Amino acid sequence: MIRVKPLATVATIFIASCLASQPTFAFEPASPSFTFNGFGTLGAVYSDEDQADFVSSWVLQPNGAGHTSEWHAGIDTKLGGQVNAQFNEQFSAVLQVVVERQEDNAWTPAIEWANIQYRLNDNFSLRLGRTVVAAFMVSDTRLVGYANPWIRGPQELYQIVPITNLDGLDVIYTLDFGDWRNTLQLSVGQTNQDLISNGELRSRDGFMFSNTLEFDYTTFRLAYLSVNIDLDTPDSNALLSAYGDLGEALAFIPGQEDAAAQASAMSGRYALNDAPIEVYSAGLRLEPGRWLFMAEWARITEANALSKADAWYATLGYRFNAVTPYLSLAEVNGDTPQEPGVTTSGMPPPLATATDALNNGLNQFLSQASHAQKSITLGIRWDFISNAALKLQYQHIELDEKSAGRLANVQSAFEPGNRVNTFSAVIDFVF
Amino acid sequence: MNYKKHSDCLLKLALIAICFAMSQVQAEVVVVVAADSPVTSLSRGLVAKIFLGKSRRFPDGSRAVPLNQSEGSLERDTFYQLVSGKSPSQVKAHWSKLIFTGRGQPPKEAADSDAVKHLLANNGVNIGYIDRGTVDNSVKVVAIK
Repeated sequence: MIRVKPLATVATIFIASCLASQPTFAFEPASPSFTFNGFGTLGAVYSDEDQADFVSSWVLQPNGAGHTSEWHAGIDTKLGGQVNAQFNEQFSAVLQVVVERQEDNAWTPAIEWANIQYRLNDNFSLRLGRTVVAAFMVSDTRLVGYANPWIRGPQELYQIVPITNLDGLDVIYTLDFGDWRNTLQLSVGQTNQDLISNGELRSRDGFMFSNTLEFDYTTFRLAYLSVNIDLDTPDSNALLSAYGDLGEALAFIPGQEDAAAQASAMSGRYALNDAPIEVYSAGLRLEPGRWLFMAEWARITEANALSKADAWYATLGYRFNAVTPYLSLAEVNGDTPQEPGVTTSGMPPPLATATDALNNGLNQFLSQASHAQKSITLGIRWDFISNAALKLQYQHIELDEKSAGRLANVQSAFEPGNRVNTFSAVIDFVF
Repeated sequence: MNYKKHSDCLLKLALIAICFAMSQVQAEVVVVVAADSPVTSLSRGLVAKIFLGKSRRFPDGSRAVPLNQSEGSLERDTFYQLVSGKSPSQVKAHWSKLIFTGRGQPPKEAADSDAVKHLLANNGVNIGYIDRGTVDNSVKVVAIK
């Protein structure tokens, strides 16, 4: 809340200048009202792959189920609390803190939402502060399991965007025409985030646009995200700077001018330094009666070490009163670049050996940055009491023959192209 | 013969039980406003939008402030099924989406149909739903188109 206060002042000044006249409302709350809400998930995941770990976020979770332990409780388990303050019809503020396992394996609270909202009128509202990057249909409630049909959004699609939040300005414009409703959202901002392997992700010049059209049981959404990212870990930095050093060394060896140039170029080609990424997505949700159909498609453009990827999923569910079985198919394609690296012909043998090792390291790094896989998921949601749901989910994953898919903590004995079976059980609740 | 008689009797009992159960889950719920409200009829879709936080206005542009009945009440479950086709947990999941993205809070709650009538008369809220049997001259039933 403290960090939001200066933002509130800025918002007040900005909005006061926009306001020609104070809109009048019939029902003004007498004083600020505060509401507390919470949500959480208690769950465990099993994976039969013993040379890599199943995780729910490749940027946040250093390990998970499979290699680290067959069953792991730190993949979906979380607890969130939110305070909502309504100052009057126009101004409100929200602070949401979520405790989940972080990149250093510690269960530290993180701020998911912290913004002040100004509602100019029924159609137009403005938020200043931290919001969630709603790159996809349920990105903004991805941590609130109770709000979603599955245990987690299909990783094939939901994990292609590494950033989750933006600190900045967010504008929502809603237009109702008859029973139709259209919502346009624009966000700008930036963010810093710690990653696994002591890494850091800095997002700059973030720009997000989405348009959502709702009619009766149909929701159709288009979104676009553009952001410049710096993503590095000590390991990736060491690898890429080793190529720089190699280039400098080779420049002194007669006949190795080409290899020197190759080595020097490697860092520039793969370092994620202020690298522009763009994400396009389209989503459809249909809820006629007892049926649920959801499908999304997305593309992320190539950015240095991150390869271009196309992802989609489709989910079909049917509700029998409190029990909803569902089936999902999902796939992410992506070129895993096979980088030949620096040519070793004519190098002195010790240098050739070192260069080969470096080339191997680079290809391993690149394969980790690409996630091609497909999966089929069978699940069931049981709303056993009014504010909690039990979900069981079986997922069969086919990994691309060159990559480890969405798996993390990949061991040297891991063989790409494997089939992985996972089973998850969670209780999602809200209060 | 005896056996047949016995099974007929069982069948009748079962039918009565089913009818009783159906009547229990099919309470007749009507949408109401204060007796002096200018609102007379609304579309089913707009009522759903008002109660699901997607619309803040009546068709004439005046502000709509909905009032819920308590969670788990027959009136509430019947009402949402009627106007939106949503089950109680679907309504709760819908509100979870709005609450945890800072987009809104669900309508205030009244304990029962009498409390709804009382609060409508006191003008803090201006649209609710009650059991048809409890309608009196303090409220006006809204025709649902």
